[in-house]
Amino acid sequence: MALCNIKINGKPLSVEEGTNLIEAAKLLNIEIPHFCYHRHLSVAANCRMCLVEVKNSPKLVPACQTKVSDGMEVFTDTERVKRAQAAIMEFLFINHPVDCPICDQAGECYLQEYYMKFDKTLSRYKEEKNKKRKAYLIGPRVIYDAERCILCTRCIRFMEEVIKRPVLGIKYRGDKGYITTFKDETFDDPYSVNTADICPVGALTSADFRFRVRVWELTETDSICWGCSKNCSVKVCHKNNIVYRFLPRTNENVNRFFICDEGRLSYKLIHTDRLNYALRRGNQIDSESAQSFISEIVASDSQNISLVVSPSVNNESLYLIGRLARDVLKNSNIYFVQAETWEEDGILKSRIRDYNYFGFVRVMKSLGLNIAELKTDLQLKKTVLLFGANMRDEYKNILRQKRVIVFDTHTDDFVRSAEIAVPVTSLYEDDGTVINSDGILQRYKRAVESESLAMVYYLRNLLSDLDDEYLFENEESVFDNFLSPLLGIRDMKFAGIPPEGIRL
Amino acid sequence: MNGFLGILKGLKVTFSHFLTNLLYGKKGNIVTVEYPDERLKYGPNFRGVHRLLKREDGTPRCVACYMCQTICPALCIKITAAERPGGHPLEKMPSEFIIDELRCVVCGLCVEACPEDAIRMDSGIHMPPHTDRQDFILNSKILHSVKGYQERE
Repeated sequence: MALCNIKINGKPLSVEEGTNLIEAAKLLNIEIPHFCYHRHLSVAANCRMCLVEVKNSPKLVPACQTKVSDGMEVFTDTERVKRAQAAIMEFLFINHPVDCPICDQAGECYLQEYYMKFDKTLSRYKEEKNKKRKAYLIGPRVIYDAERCILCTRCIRFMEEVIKRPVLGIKYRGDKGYITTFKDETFDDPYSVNTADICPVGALTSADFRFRVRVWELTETDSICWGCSKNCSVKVCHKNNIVYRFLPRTNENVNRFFICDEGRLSYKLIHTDRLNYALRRGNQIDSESAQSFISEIVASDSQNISLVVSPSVNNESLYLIGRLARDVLKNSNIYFVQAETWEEDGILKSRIRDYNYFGFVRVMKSLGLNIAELKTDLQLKKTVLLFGANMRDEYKNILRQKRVIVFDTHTDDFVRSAEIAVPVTSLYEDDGTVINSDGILQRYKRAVESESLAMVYYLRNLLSDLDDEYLFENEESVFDNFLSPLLGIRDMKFAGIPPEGIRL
Repeated sequence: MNGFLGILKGLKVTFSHFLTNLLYGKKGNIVTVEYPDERLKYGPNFRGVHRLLKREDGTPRCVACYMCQTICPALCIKITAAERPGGHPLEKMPSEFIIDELRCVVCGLCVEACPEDAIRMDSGIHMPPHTDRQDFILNSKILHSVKGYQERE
């Protein structure tokens, strides 16, 4: 690729040929405002907010559509550009209801941000504003407000170009235009809520998130989605230890800029049916006695223990489980159970829904252990240590015959009937790493606090005779001391894992 | 020496009030007020107990935008938002609006922040004393029933 030498506001820059001016300016930390332009979608150039001045060009040019060329001189802060930006904002606000107090987008709305940055003038419009239909379900999970819509067509292009199911279009033209589904089409696409994310204004909003909390109260933590083994990067938005939503986090390696609706709504599982205290055959016990009971069994009866893993566990715990099998129990067989699979759709969804299945396979293979799916004809030993009980009923029927000690985040009939059930933190309550179906290792960070302990802490106690205990201190030390050499990324430290993950 | 002078100055006020009341009190020139039987009128910008206003159709004026909760430096306001019933064009309203008057620092920023003029502190009364802390936590029902000083007169 040839490099072009250009100047933006007098600052020299050399960028690859074919880059547009918005992306080029971003490299210099110069913001060119835009509504309709989205890096992952085609260029529509219909909002005209990104008009900039180019030397020797008689008119202002849209920065999203203009590609760099050698010797180009661009100005983004001249008086002409500023006047154009203020004029565009004034036009957009002519029919905008300015109902920010009741709008869920308030706080992350481009209209608000650009008004404060580029406009800050009062409207001169004295006529009646256009009345359009407000707040109705355009699809089962998305709410559309025609008055707020600026017709940037981002949602239409997203459905057409990314999901390849073009169901949205603009009906009528000009100030009467609004977004709607085509005749006989419904907007119940499994990726429909992404249109609410990429909507620059409050026209499309998520029905699930409606009125629950204002966005400026939320804290965002980088994490991953636990919906399937694709491990889409998400931002966990939480307040007072309650998760209110998942937002897709841009990660070119995994999910680019969107997630599926089911994964997005899976945040609800964090706060439903959780196992909050240790149980012994359904009766509450304190966690110390549960812990000492487990230690006793592992110490005294280690010949009669089988290990079963549901691969919804992070790599660090899996490593310690592997060490427990190999070095303490001297048992080289690890059985795994699986959750219901779902249909792979060629966009994001990966068939296996256990979010760290591929990490499980990789870690156990690297430790030299045999893995096998749990089946009826297997000779399980008397006691079963079960890590995670997110599985199909057929496995539960096999395990019911045994004395089961289960470490799990959630509770159900099976967990309550277990000999001992120990509560552990879920993915959003602890640190860790996971590996997805494409072999990308990602780190997730603790979003909310939990009273439960991480699985690593319980395993650490069982392994304390093996090595210095500080090596198993937490996820970070397990990763730095054992896991990164095991996975062949010796130089990578836990704290240094980039937000977009590492391809193994 | 200065401290001693200060005491004398203070006592001068006390005794002048005492003597005024004693000598001219019968003519109605009493300087002090027998609170709570007798009360001075507060100025119109006195910041009293909060109140929430209603629209002409009787629904709450508040649209649950959380501006007051966001700006409150004492974190004494807690709003829970809900859909406005009956397809009302305003869409949003508070299903619960709680002000902890014990936490409130009476700064008036919530009144300034409100875009709908839904919350005011013009009740002209300060928070009456209670024996239970829970009584100082006002919910939306109580807040809507507090009247402004102009209405009460």
